[in-house]
Amino acid sequence: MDKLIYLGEALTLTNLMLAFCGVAAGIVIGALPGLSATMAVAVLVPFTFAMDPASGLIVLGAIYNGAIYGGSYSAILVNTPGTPSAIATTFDGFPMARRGDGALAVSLATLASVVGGLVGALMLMFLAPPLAQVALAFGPPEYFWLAVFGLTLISALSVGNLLKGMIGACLGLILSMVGVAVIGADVRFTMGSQTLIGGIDIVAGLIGLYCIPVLIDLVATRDPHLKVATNSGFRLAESLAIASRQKFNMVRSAVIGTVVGILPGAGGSVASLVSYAEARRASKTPENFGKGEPGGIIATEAANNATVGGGFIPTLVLGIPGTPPDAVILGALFVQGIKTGPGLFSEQGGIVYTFIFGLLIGTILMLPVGLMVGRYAYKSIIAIPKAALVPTIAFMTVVGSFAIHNNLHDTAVMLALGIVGWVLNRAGYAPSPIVLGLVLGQIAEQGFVQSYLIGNAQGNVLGMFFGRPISLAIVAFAVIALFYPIVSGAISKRRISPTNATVESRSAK
Amino acid sequence: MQSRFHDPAGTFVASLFVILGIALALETRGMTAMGSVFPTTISIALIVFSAVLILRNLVLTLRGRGGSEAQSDEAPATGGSNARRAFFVGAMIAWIALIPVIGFLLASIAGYFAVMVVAMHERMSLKQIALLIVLGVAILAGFYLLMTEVLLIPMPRGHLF
Repeated sequence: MDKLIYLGEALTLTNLMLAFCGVAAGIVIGALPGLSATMAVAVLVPFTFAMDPASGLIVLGAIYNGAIYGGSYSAILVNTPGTPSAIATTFDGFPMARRGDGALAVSLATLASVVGGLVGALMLMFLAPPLAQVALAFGPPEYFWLAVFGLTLISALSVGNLLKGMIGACLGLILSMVGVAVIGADVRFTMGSQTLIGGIDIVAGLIGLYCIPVLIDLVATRDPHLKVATNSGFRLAESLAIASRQKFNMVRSAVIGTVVGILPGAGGSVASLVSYAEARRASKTPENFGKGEPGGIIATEAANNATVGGGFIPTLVLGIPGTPPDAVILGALFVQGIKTGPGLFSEQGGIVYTFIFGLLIGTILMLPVGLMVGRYAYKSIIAIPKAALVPTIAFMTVVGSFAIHNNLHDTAVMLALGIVGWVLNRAGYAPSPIVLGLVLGQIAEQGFVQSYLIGNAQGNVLGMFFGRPISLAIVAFAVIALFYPIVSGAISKRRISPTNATVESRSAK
Repeated sequence: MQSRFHDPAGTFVASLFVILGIALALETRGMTAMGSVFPTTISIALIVFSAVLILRNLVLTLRGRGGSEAQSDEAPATGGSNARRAFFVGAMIAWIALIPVIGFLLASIAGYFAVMVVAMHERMSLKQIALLIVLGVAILAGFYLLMTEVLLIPMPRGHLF
């Protein structure tokens, strides 16, 4: 009954308007590569200080949700993830847009984001205190194996050449090590350059590796950027039909997103990669993943928006931010006089539940706002002539990479990686494994070195890596994800071969 | 019939990766044990994978299966004007190099329109060109104002401005 009162408080006209504006602002900022959800939240935090606590938190939650979702637009339409959470959206989103299914891809991303956001927020509302314990159960070995699990996606992304995928991933891992080491503080692989001491920023790497090669090839030919769709509109009915067929994938990805979101430091990129790997493993047509499979978009977008609710679980219950934007919001909570901790839900339930209802309302508002903005963005990308589209995207790569740290070195790194990425792609080394290595490298290294040190101190290094139940479960999933496509392919070939033999023998007659 | 080498570009890049891996592995010798364990492992993995790829391609060549590799879905578009590609890369490098000299806005205006010229494939009327210029200036000014006035990002100023 109390919750209904809080729902009423969240449903005021002011709060609805604030949630609407927050979602719209978040979508626009998230869609621009380089401008992240953290930045959107951080920039707009001061405006919320003048509001009452619940309204301020509703705006921040709406901006955060919108920004995570907005990252999918640029991933689908220009092959550049607007936020790192949308890396895996490019795998299937851009191929869909290229063949003329951009509107369908955007609608699917919207539906999946809404469902993912709702699942995350509902789990925050009903399961926050017990789920917060998950964050505490995750130690360095679990983080290491989680990163390894993400890296198993290489097998999916390296169609035709697993070796080149492995080489690309090694290159990405090496790029992630450039600069000062997370543990040990060694200065590594900087080639004597001071500008590389800070390392290679993931977002600069993403923009460079994904966007610059597309632009280099875009200027070379007269062909349009995306194929013009034959059927216009939102294609909402088609999206709903696909989403209902993929409902299990959507809910599973949302749950994975929420759980990974709970883990401090893992974030939306890991969540979406893990759920993508799972969706591919469970799919009846895993060979279509990476070629424009709607299930891939559904998995990544449901997962990354679920991290919003998931990330708030340790933030509110333990005072440990699950994701970087949560850290900013945690600061805003302190300013508003809210004390986070296990007692928050009972002591200051009014504000917390109003905030969670606000998050739910913001997520639902994402559907109409997202569909409208998505349709407009897709139409614009198709309608704008190449002579205006290419320089605009090029400008966005420059601005986006600069805005990460207000530093031109990031822009230079972005361009250099883009050119290297284009050359490597020509030689058959796809950019996605490199990006995976770059994103997961630091998490993997930190987990590995910390586990090794703890294991060494305890005189049980192997036990540290292989003797913990959660670790073993993640290892099992990683092994299944890595070998399942090969094994299932071999089994299906064996099943098909007698039929083929019959057909061949008949045709021979 | 002359036998062709299997995947020459991929093999050449793999040989570069072997050299890179050796250089990186040597560099890790000057690091602490904690800082070097991961880079050493990955450098060796890079060398091993690249060497296996080279070996595989050599074997395939000897078996007479020359030519290029089957490409993945992420494979780049083939064909098109390489001169335009080179001009685009040159324009982007100049754009970024000019920002500290003439400031963000001016360098972006120059870079934007240089890239626009490179990306222009069809003949356009004066009216269309004027429209593109107005659109370009509006986009640049809009984003510049968004960055400086709304997001309060300190944009780089050049020596000139």
